[in-house]
Amino acid sequence: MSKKMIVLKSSEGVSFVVEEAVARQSKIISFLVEEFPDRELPLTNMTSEILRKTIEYCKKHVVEDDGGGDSSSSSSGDLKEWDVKFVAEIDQPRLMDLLMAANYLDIPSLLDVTCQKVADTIAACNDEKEIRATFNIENDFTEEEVEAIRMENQYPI
Amino acid sequence: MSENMEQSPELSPSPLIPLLPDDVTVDIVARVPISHYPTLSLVSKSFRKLVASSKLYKRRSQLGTTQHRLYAVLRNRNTCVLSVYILHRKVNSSDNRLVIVRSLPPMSSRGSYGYIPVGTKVYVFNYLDAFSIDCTCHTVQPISDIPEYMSYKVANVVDGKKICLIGDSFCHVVEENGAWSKCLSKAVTVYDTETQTWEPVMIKQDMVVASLWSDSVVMEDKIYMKEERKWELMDEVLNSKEWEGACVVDDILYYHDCSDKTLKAFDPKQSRWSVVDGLEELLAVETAQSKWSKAIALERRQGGEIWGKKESCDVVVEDELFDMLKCVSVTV
Repeated sequence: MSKKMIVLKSSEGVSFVVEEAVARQSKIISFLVEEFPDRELPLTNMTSEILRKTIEYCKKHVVEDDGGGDSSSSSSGDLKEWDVKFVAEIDQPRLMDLLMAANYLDIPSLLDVTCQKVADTIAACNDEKEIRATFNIENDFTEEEVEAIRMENQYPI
Repeated sequence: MSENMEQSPELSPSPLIPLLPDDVTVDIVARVPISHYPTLSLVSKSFRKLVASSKLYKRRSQLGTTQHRLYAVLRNRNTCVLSVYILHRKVNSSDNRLVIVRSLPPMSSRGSYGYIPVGTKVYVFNYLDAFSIDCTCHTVQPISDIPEYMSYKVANVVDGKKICLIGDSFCHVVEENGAWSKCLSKAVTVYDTETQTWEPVMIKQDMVVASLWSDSVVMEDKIYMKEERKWELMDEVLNSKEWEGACVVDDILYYHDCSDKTLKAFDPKQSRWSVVDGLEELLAVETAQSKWSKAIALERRQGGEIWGKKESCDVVVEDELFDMLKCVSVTV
């Protein structure tokens, strides 16, 4: 039995042919496939690089339903290890892109691992300046305000 | 800045993290260990609001990323003002520091010894009133409908959700000649934190309760409390030790025995005392003046022997300006 394939198109117009079962891990794609069968789906806010990464993740996590019970390609322990490696290899800007893709496409497990990775990145920062620099956050405190908060965080008061 | 605390993060003009929807950022921050929150509060105004928002703590609870946070109630010896502090572990270090919770109103130090943690809240019962502190956004909610005046002496959690208060209450008694008179009696009442209702006060004439606020613990849903250097309502083995300032973890009572500098444990199932091994060095260096913060990981080895392992140990209050009244652990 041949597997049903669907086509996803990146912002650069590159087409990716993916098994439907793989793509259906995205709740959005799952919905779109039902609504517009046999159409290629344009994902105009995702670069080819990020789309490729997302598909790589979904391929690893697909649970093939061929009636043969637990036929997931990997055990959950292996999968966890694979996830850690998967996000560890991605640099910070791409990690944010991937997180946004997971959020946009509504892939809960990918959103989970990317959020965790970003949380780990925050926890690894030495101070608030490093957090701001890593995530391009603007400092809207005046120096006096920062000093006041710092004083509050000191003992004794 | 505290007047904006209640504002939800979505109302901020710009996103917490550029290009990221705020609900995703909440998901991320909920996964960050709580010890990093003081640093996060310095990132931007909207981050400061976020770490004080109840929404974040709800998310932590949903994700199962909640952690224990230790609160200490300190009394300034000069001003007698009570303040609540959080014991924060310093980022990327094992040191602890106390950070004052500024959003709480000043509290009466009279009888304010009943600090009962239930869920993400700490319930406070003193001579004047009763209220709860929400440890997610650090706000205070009054507890209403206190059935009648009681001076609470002992407060404990039973059944995980109910607070049992024992103390003195004025009650009316009918005398032999038929006249009414008012007298102070020992009384028990229960506050259900889930339904926020009180159970009627029960008068227990024969109950013996210490004249001052007394130390008490709960093991296996039984309250053990102290009266004039004697522990009532319990077996003699437990009574044999002066276990004031004890804490109970998983129905086992632990207390620091100053006389021989050991950590002792009592298991009501076996009705016997044992010494927690592995802590001799730590407890031997403790000094009388300093308030130490200690986290001890307890491990039950096969055969029922309990071993202790030091997780952290710091002097957090070095001067003698403050008295530590109470220390409670809240899961947020």
